[in-house]
Amino acid sequence: MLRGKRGPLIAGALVIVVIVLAVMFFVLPKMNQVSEANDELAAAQAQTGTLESQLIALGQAEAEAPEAEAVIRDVDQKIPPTADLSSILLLVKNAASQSGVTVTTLTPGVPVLDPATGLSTIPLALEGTGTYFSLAEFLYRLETLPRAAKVQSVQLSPDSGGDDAAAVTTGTLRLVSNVQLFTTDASAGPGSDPAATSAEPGATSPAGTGGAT
Amino acid sequence: MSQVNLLPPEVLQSQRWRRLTMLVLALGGLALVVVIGFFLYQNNKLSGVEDEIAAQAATNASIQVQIDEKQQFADLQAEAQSKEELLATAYSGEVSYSSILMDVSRVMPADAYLDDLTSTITAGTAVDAGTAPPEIIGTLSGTGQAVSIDTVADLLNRLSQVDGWVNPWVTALVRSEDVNGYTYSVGVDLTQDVVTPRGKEAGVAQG
Repeated sequence: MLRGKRGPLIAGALVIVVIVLAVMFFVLPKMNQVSEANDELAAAQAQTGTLESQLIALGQAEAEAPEAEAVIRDVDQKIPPTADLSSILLLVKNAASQSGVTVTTLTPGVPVLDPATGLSTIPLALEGTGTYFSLAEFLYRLETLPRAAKVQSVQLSPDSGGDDAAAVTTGTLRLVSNVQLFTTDASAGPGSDPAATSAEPGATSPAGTGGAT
Repeated sequence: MSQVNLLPPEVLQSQRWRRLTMLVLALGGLALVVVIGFFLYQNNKLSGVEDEIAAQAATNASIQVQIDEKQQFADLQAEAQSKEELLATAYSGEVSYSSILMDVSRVMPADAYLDDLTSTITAGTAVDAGTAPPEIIGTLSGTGQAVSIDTVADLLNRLSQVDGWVNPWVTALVRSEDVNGYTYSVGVDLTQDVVTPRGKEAGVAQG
């Protein structure tokens, strides 16, 4: 078959066919595998970079863990998981006595849950008597209570006790103020679930609580 | 002595074709060897890359284990941040009334005094939605007695000099023989400037 003048042509064609087949069925798939493996390696290296960055960030978080724990403790003290009305009464009473103010009325309201933040606001109407500067100090102590308290309104008037002249001479004033305190308890107040319950921010208020109990 | 080629020309031609055929086959074989060599090179390269991938995967797995161990700290940090935002929300718009009372005591002229004082914060909304600009967050007003009109004018000037106190006004100024002077009603609007730094944090966080 390979004899004669067609021999070189047939041999050349045969060689080309063999080489093409070898390239198509062996070399190209292998090159493709190498290319895919290189891509996979690049992805793994990129993932290593990402993971290392994540690890560095976590290392920083670990270093800052004591501060984070302190923040959580501080906020839990300022905004406790239950209404803890007794501590509110004692804190206000102590603030008043340290300022020389006599608290005459304390009226805690029913907590109101804000579903958007998961924060329940406890309104507290208070009345007290004292001198101008003792009342100013009392307000300062309220603003710096261990629990978060926000004074919303203040009304000062002479504490006449029915006798205007007496108030002017003694300099005693009557303070009427509305203060807000807070809890993360989504269901606080009379008739509510006694345990601490939390609301996911953005959730609707719990059924049966009216969003305020 | 001369040589005579007795080989027939057809045979000579046939030998030439055979040699050419062998040459083509030899070149083809050489090319095939090159292809096989390149295949082996690629195969070796693939093996090396796969080893590297395995090593990288082992490294990643090791880092992932460390990440899993430290994930609690990320959770702790997220919780702390969430708590801080909650606290900022609670204090949002807070006004220090103790500071306001101290400011009132500072601005009162010596020949005037207040009978009563009222202040309300309207939780970030305008005092009068129809007319008041939105930065006004509350009012401070009071009634009192002054020796003269000059005293009340001086009081208004002083009120306007306190940061965050704007629009000082007098709603009534009445001559009173009982006090041998004037009784007056004054007030100011309170702006965002009276909000405490921690009261502004929620807005900063949201911004």
